[in-house]
Amino acid sequence: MKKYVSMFKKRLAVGLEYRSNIFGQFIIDILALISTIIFWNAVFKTQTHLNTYSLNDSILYFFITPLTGALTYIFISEELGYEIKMGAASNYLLKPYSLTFEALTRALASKLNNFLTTIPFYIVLVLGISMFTHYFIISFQSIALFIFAIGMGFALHFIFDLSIAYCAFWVGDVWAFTHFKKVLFLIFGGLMFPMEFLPKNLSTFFSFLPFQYMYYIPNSYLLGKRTASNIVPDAILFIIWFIVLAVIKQFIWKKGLAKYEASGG
Amino acid sequence: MKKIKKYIQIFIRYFKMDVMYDLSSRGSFFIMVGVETFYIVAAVIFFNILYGNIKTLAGWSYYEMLLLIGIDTVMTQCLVGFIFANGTNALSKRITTGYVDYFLLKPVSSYFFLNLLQPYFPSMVSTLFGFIIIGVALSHLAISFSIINILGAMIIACCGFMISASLMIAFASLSFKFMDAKTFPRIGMNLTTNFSDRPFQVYEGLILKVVFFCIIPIVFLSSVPAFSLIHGVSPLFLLSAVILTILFILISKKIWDIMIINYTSASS
Repeated sequence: MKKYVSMFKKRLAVGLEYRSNIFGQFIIDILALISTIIFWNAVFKTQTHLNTYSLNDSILYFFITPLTGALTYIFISEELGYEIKMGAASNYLLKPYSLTFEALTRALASKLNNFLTTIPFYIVLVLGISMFTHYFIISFQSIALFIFAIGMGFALHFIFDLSIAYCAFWVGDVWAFTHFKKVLFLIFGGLMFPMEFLPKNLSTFFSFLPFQYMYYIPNSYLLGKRTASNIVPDAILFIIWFIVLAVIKQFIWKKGLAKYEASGG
Repeated sequence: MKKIKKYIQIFIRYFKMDVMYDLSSRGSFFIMVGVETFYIVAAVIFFNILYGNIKTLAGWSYYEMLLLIGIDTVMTQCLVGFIFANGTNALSKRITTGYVDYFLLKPVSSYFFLNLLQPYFPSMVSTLFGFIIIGVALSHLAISFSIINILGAMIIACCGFMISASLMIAFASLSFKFMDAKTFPRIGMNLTTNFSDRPFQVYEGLILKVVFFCIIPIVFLSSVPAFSLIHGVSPLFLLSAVILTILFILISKKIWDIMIINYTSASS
């Protein structure tokens, strides 16, 4: 355990080294939020509701989204994929620890970085917009459910991202896969729109996919669109997908390792 | 004139080299085109779902909006291909590794060389999907075309491109001042992508109008050209676009020149 704590500290220090990047990302998120307010205000000019979503619901949904993303989004595939491609993964294989846990320390350190930098701002922003719109929908129960859903989203995203990183055993660059992942989250994960905006049959189909755990499910819990009664079916589906993705990840890892040539390492 | 000819020749030569380089690994090339296509498909899906719930957005019908998305796809893919992917986005890494030295030693403007000389060909191929979307939209819209409207819309779109490019370069040049600032070039790109694919009528009120027509005039990239194609070219829009383009190029060049002074070679 000590070795993983040490790795975690190292990753945390690296993440906090270049603070201008944190500031830049912060500006990018602000721009996205401004764009969101302007856009949804225009959409709701001609009507009061989009299915079950009012203007306040929609704005709050998209304001919660960067907070959810800061908690669930995992970036390790590009870095780890590059290390595998360059043969640098040999360093990990020779050391007495699991690469999966090493990757987990990276992901957790990045989340703690977010806790120290951007997340407090997002929390203030979400509370601020709730007060500004006189829309106090967030309760202690919804926060507890949100945190639970965030845990499920983080776990699924981690396994998914690790599988992408391991694809580097075959392809030169996993960059394309990381973008493909983002598109999946945009459409199926609730990053672009809540599932309620979809036609019924389509939203039913989407609800069986794992991607909704990244944004849509946590956001829905915080907004009160999902309640405690949804947690058991959501947890069951999560366990099924976690097992499926973990098996896929392990399969890719074993096959990849057999093929690994440590070129450049 | 001689100088412009020289720069065009250099650009064409580098463009050819880049195309050859990108096509040398066809598998990667098609994956890259695929990635760009995914984003375009996602945007179309989003507006399809939205228009499943609404009839118009800021007075724009579904096919008018589709025309806007098509034009925006072409313009943003061109921005990504000519300026962002291998230009502004790669700047901070080039600064950190000292690779900028190589560019500064050439007898060509660093503003031109570092930002424009490494096109990203897959994005340019992806503009084809934008043209397909434009074709589909136009086939459903009863527009009476005139050469003036088409030419006017194209001039405004080109001005919009240069304004956006200037903004992107200005933000990217901050990388000279702040070490390893990978996110700064993305601010310029996000300024474009977050606001360009909306009808300009959504920017209501004096503050938003001043911001989006004067301070960061992103509306000239896609929205105003699409509007001009549908409803005719407004001389005011045309004139504003040209004046703002000149202004933004000058400002961007000035910022670049100020920021590049901060560059300290990392390799030598």
